[in-house]
Amino acid sequence: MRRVVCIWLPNWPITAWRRARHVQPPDHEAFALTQRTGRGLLLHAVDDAGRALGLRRGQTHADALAIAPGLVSAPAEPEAEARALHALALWFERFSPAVAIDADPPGAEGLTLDMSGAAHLFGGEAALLDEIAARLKGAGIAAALAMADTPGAAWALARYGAQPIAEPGRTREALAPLPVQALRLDEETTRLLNRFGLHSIGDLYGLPRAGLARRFRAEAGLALVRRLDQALGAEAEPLRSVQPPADYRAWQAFAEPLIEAEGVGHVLPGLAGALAAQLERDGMGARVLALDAFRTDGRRVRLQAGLSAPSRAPVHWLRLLREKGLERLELGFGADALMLSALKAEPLAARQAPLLAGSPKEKPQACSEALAGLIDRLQAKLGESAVLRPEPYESHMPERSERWRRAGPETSGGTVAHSGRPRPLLLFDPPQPVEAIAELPDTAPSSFVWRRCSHKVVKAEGPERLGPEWWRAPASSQGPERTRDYYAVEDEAGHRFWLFREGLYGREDAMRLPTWRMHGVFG
Amino acid sequence: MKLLRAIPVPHRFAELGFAELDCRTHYSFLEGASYPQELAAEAKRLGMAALGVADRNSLAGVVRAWQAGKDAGLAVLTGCRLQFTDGAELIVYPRDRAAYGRLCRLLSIGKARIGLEQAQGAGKPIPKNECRLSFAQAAQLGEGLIALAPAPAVIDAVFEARLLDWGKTWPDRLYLLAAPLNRGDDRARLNALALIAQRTGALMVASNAVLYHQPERRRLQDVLTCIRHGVTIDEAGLRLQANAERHLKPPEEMARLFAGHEAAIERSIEIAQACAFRLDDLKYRYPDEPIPPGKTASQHLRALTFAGARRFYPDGAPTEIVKILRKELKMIRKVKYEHYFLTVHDIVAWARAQEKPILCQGRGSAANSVVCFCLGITSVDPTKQDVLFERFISQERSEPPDIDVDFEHERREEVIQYIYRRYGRHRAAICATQICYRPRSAIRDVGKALGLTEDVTSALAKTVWGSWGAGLQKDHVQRTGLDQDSPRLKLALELTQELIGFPRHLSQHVGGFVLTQAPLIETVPIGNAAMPDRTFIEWDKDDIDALNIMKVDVLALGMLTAIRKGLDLIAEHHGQRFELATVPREAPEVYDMLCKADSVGVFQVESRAQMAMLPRLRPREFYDLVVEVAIVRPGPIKGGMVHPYLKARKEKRLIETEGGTYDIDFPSPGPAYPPDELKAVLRKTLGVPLFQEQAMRIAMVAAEFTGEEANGLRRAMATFRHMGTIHSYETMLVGRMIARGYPPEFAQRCFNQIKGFGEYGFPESHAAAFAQLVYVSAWIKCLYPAVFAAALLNSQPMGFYAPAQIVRDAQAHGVQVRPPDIGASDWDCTLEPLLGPCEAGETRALRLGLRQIDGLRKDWAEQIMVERFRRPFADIDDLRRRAVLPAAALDALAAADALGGLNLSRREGLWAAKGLPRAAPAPLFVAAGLNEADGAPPSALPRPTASQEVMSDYETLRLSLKGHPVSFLRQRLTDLGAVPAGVYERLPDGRRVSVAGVVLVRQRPGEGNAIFLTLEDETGIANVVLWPRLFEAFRPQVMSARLLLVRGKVQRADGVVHLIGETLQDISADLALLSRSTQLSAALRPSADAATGSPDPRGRESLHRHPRNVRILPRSRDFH
Repeated sequence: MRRVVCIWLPNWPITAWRRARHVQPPDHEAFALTQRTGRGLLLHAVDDAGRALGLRRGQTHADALAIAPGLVSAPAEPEAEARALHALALWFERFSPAVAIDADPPGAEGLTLDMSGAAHLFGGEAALLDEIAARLKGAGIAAALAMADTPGAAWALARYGAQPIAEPGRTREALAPLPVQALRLDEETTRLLNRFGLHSIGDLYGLPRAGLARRFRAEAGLALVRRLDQALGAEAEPLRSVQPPADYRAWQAFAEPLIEAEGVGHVLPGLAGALAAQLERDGMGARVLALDAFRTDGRRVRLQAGLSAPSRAPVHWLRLLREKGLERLELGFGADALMLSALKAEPLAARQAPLLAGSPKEKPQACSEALAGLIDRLQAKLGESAVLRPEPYESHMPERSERWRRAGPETSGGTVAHSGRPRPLLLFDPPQPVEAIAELPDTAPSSFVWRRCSHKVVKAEGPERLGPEWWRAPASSQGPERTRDYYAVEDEAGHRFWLFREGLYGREDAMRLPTWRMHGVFG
Repeated sequence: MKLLRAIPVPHRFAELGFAELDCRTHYSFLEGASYPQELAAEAKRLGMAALGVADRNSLAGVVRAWQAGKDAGLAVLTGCRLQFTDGAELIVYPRDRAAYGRLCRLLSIGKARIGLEQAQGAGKPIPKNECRLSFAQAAQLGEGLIALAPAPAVIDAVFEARLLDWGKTWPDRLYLLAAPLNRGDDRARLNALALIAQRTGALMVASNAVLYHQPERRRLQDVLTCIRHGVTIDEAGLRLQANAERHLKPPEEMARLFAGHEAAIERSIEIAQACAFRLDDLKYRYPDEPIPPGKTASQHLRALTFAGARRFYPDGAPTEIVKILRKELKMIRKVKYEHYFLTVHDIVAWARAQEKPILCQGRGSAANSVVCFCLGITSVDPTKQDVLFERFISQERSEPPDIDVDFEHERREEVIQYIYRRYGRHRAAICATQICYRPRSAIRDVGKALGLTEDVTSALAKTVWGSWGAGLQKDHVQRTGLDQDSPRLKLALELTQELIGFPRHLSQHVGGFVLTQAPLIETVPIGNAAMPDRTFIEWDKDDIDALNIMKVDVLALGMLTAIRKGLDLIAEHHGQRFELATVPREAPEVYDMLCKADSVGVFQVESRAQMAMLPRLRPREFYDLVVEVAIVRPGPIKGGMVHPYLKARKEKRLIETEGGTYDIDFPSPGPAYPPDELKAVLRKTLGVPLFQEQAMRIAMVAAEFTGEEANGLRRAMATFRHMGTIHSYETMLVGRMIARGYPPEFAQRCFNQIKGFGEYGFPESHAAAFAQLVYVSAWIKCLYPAVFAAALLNSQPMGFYAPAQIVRDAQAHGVQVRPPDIGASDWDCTLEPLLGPCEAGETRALRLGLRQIDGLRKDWAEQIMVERFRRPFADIDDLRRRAVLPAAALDALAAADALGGLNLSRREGLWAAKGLPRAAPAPLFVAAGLNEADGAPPSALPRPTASQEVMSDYETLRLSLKGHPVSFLRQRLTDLGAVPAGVYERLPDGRRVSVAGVVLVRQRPGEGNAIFLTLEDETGIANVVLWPRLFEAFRPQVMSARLLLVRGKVQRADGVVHLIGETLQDISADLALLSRSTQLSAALRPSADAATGSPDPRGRESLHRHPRNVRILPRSRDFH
């Protein structure tokens, strides 16, 4: 007998958003995520406080603010939500190897677990649901659960049912009182059913199936009948698991969560031995190895290591995993289960890698992979923010015309316009003080003293006038930044300098005298 | 050491004059960052000889610039910056009127291809606010246009070649326009440009490529650039100007910057002198077609007027009228406005002469004349009304007369297209409206440009109630809970303040037509509007006024459509033909009805505020309606004139019922002045100023404003929203009135009133024209309620109330209403004879039309009507085949329960309609093993309950004749302590009571503090008033509830009953119960969780009580 658990995650977008940021819901403050659509800014998800005020998904942000001016909102991140849901699904592999994501319709996200014949491992169905519920609650995830014979029935019960468990073979009775939309129907179909006076699933049982189906647009009619059949088990509905379970895996759960990575190190040899034994049985070796730690907060952390050749030597595995950072494994409030699996296995009689790696055509590819590998290794060692790469940036201000970004193998995105004015190769940061003598209001200096050396100017060009970036907070406490007049000058010795006067005579803050700065030297 | 020695400016430079010839105003949208007024004033201050204003492909700002120049005493040249499709730019200045005409023609070609040969004009229409021109096109019309080619940032061979080429083809002089770029190489650059000028023969002229009047505007200009490019300021990079140098610079500074190129400076003066054209040269002539040959305009107008007079007064016009008529005609001849009246008459006469005449009515200052009445432009009988005509062409007002004509809203487009046909698109066009930045739009755009997140900007924008808030105040910011000390936010607020009032783009005016004798495209450029077949000029109402160009407003009015349809129905069913002017006057029963505030659907007086005013004002004659229409407006309300007027009226009524005579108490000045000087002004309104003209007269009489000053005040009022000039008039008006001995409080009120009129001017003549429609619509409603309801329903969408309320009101007035039915209904609502005895002498029942059915198209309904006329339909298949109806039509009809004519109930009909054989066999079904054959609805299909029927009606018709949704919840509501609205209405003042109902309307009028809610249940309507503090406490309930329970105190005053809300409860969830199939009595026990609205403990509430089920009722109409 197939038995399926459905987990409904009401407000998943908000749960995911908060989990990503480790923020606790503010007290009595309505919170919503918004999404820009063709209809304007719409609410994507609303928390309980918001719902209590009458806010709902799909409402325009403007309407929502009219109802609740205190509404706090943030832009939704659908991709991050999907990723987080995927991650949660992976975590649920600790209960069942077949976990599917219910992403449709949006706003009713959840997970489906195939628990056929497995509930007794957790002390029966009720105990299983209790355990899942307790773990989700502990992780701060709101959820409603149900268990039934079919995914459709479990879906309906989780979202609309009063009883969480439909006994085996009693699906029909369990579904009868639920509203028709519990069948996963589109809005149009639901509306027409209601118009016929058909409100609960039970209302549909007595109707001629063909007669009912043809009263909807072809596909919708079929979908209605199919959804009913699927829920009642008359039509099979396979689950699409998030990822095919690995063929070789070793698993261990703990009564007391492991807090320290050290503890993992103690358990690991046992797991590795068990996994190696499985591989040996089939004459296989692991090419890709994964260590999953299932944390009590509903996250799964994974350490993955590729092997250049198939192996079933636990000692080698353990060394590799240590290198990959076993000591730094983030266990948070602890992990209560560990799984070691061979994601990819090959017969142990492995083929040799070719002596000459790749044709010339593949070379750039290989180079970039090698560079990426290098960057990854460096960042792994030194921290991500330690390996940076300069990138041109569009700004009139010379010191802001480039910025540092996290290094990655990809080249910078898009071209950046250039002001077309010559800039010295060497810029001083910060610009250095200079004493200069110049005619008012904006003639080039005739001489200047820099680093206690006096220079007489023989050639000069300028001024190039650059206004301050007024939208930035002033960097110094001296007051707001002022306009700069840049001059490129050459002294008697033929040295070329780039210096500027900050502040215009007669304009801009008459109380502060203009000041001179050396910003760079040419060649 | 620093050398702080100022360089003496060579004496020669100081004498050198300079004229800035490259100056963009904010009419170069999202580019220029100053008002024309600011630029003109600054140029004058800096001692410029002249200022050339040239906006990008537009003359939209030239009138304002020209006027600002006149105000500042500076010569402002009218020019244009042409931007060709290849990106090249050319600034042109017309030397004379003819060249100006060519420029306008050129821009019209670029904007709408008007004035081109047919063959050239083909192709896709040019989108609104775009201009597509090439240099070749410009050169063709370039005669008399002095051209300045601005040097690009990078000067290269391409530029030189182009300049050489242009120099050969441009018919007038071509100059090279050079501006310093402050990029460090200006000296070299100017020298290079001078060489190019020498080689190409295009002499160099100096300019500073001005974008704003003072360097402080750079910030705003940067923000505009961000808005234009749709980027934030952090991403904008080099799209921004590098510095703040693009401002107007004094001649000495320009001379310094162009040292060595002095001739370039001098040349700017030469050019300014050569361009002698000023907008004063536009000699406007009104079109003179509508005159038959051999007659002068004056004779023709006289003939038409007297012919009209004979028609209205078949027994001869009263001498009084003839006397006024002669006087008016004389005055019109004196100011030469004959053509204006003849043109308006021509349009009105055309509308009247249609096979189905189009109802229309004029209003506006000139409309309240006997001439207009005789010409049929207005229908306000001058014998019943004081004629105000003299006021409109009094000597001190040098502006053109103003006649707005309202037409039936469904047919106005016909009139507009007639005008285009009659005068041609090159001579007739609609005025522009400037869409300006308002607080909300400004904070949105500025916030976006500064990178504030959307919820921050919309939170800020949302705090400004109403669209013309006074700007963003600090407490607005506090209210949003945002950190007001965040520097970005502070910047955003400052820049928003600066941006408010800037024009964002041009749009077409609702209906102001400009007509000219000479081709209009030689007076002003004409461009395409967003609507197809519409073109509009670049100038708005104020520009046109400033140039003394006359315009006719051709406006749309829904009520005229309804009245036309109503009068037609009266003629058809009651055998009497009435026109606006011939509807029986002053019927007491009509006023009785209005005094009871029984005015649902009546023009203008159907809003809550008006309904509350009616029983207090107690209109008994036509002029009372004029007052009624005018009094609930920002002017009188802000001026605090409402209560004094009502008080005076009450006293008058009391004294007169006792047989005495009421002496009006006029505000009077000090003893040195004539005590009754305001008597003539305020006589008709019991000593209280209510109309815009009165406020203006007070300024002239009591504050001794000269004509000039009054004109200035009027202009300040009109542009009050743009500029803050009105405050100088405040001190002037209030000060002078106090000095002349008027009570200071009265003086201040008068000024506040004028300020209020600035927001929404309401002159007496408009009020009179509106009052006319109030009377006529009330007359129809009073005497023919069935006709009135049908006419309103057939003119939807219009007015204040939804069809459901119109129908309920009709039923309350004894009209029998029948549901839409394919066996009896037309597309429109119709009247059917009543068979049995009936109430109130009504002989017709109202049959709802098929138009009430959601999703049904007019052509489907017409096919049904045609086929039904041949013979009735036998069954649904017969209906489908003969009327050629698609499945969607049958679905809509069945869902709306309109198949009664086939003896099919809603569900039978729906089952049958949905089951009809489809055009193609359904292979899908075959594949799925579903047999297609089936017959009648299966017995398992549940029978609908009464409440389900009602809810289905609401879903498809937005009303139900079978009952009111609330009636099914009555037991539940009684348990919650609510009484029916019909009961609450009769309760004594001060009684505490609960009422529950569907929320019809939510209103937060203007600056008013209170919130008005209208609730409806099966017995009537409850008017709820919420004070702001309560509103804040119950905001979610107020803003989102469909069904609301309000506990509060009854307030009765002057026959108006209000419920002053104290607590609110959103019981919308109960509406979902109505759609349930289970027996209501069992399901409808009040439950604890529904009452408290607490979410389901398992968190399922959001899906369970899906709002979809609750949303069946139409949304309330909300006005803020």
